[in-house]
Amino acid sequence: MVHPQTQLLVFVLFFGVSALAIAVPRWRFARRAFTWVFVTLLLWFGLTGDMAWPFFGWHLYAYEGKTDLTFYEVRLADDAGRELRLDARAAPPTMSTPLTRIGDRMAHLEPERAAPIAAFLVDRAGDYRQRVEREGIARRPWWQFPPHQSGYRWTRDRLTGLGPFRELRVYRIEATFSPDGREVLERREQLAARFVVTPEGGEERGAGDG
Amino acid sequence: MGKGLLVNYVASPTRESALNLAVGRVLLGLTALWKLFSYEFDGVAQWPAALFETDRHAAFYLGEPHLALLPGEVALAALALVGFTLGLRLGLSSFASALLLAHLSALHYVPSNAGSTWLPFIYGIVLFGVYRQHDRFSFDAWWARRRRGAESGSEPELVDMAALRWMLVVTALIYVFTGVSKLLRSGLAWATPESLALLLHHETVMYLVDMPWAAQLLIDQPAALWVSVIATLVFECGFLVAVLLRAPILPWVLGLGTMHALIWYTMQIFFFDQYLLYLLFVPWDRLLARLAPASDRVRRLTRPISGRPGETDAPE
Repeated sequence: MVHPQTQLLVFVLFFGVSALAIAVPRWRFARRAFTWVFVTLLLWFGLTGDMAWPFFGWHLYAYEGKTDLTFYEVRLADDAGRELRLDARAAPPTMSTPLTRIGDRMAHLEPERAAPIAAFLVDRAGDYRQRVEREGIARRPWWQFPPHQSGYRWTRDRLTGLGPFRELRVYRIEATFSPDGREVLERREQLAARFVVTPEGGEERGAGDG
Repeated sequence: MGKGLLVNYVASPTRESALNLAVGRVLLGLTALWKLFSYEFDGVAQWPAALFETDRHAAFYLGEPHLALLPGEVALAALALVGFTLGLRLGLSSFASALLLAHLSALHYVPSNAGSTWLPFIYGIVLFGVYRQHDRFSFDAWWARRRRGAESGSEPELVDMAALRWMLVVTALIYVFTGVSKLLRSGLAWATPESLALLLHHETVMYLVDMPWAAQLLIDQPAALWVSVIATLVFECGFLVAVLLRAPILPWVLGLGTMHALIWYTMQIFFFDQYLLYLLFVPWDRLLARLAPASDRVRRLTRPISGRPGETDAPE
């Protein structure tokens, strides 16, 4: 990971030369400085795969598919311990992929830092659950930019039989696949973190408009 | 002007009219506005401080009071984008838009990967600011002409399409990074049917429930998997080569567009933004000339110099 100071330097450098080239576009030096800085930073981060905003590595799915996979899954549980995978749509703007990243982080953070994130997710999940129970499936407004990821979603059926959410659980999941990728040979789950969320003032709902 | 359905601006660095630049600017601006209002920044503002403070983008996090004011930053960005779209105070509006969007997207990236899809648009907005002197159909340029009392014909002959040329190179370069990174990190092991089948299966296990039918279809056909991995590498790495060699870009864009559609059907991941970027390279001037060749106004917009209505293009 690029050091925060380097991140700031890159940000300031890029917007600095941009400001210069925009402010005095006819000054050849400004134009040239912009071009050189822009291309160099693009190439540097694009080839190394590092990230320093507004430069990105674009190393998407760069590793070949392997027979072993480890990832983190966020689930909610009611008083009776019945579990349900969290639908990322409960807490916009997250999506399925970043949610596993967040789960990973929550499993490795000190509990006092992870707890507010867990409480937030449980709170959002409660509101979102009510919406799904009301509408069947939570639909996006028609005018919204098409989502970048679809993925697992809650339906009324999936929510049936579950009591109010009281816990957030992060599982570390290890899966082994056959070499041709066609079947899962083994799947192991291990509870990595657990957050019990007590409702405040007798209400599940948070203060936000949800 | 060339006859391709898409313009390779490296091969055709100039055009007779600045219309494509104006359309490009409007496309970038309107898309950015659309994304801005769709991206649930009010959702970003509700995540707890702990997530931002422990993130790689902690440097962009300005504290809870600022987070509460995030809608204000979004509104400012929208204002700057409206100016940019119209070509009004283009230097200031492009810089302000880009800066605000960069900050907003950095924060958005904390709870969501989609923040990265802003970056090509941010680059485009900056480029249109840097090269705004060629953007003759901007409000600024129109206003300056009006104040000067300038007549058409006092403008230089051909318009330098620098902003679009750079956007094409940057778009192609980003694809190269995705392609080359596969070879850098995995070598040829990436380009095997087993690798792709495993990647598709991973996607299902992590983010979906049942495997999408298209993914299952692919996994069942080793030949289709071979074609997919080879085509992915060829198109991702070849697009820039075609651009720099001044070759037609349409086949490459069609291939990449197909790839994005297949990724949607097999993995439920959709980079819709790319289709909007491709629109930047449509020859809007020629399209307009074809639609209304006899119109005087269209002639002025598309061929102010030669004035010849909608005929087939002059040779390079």
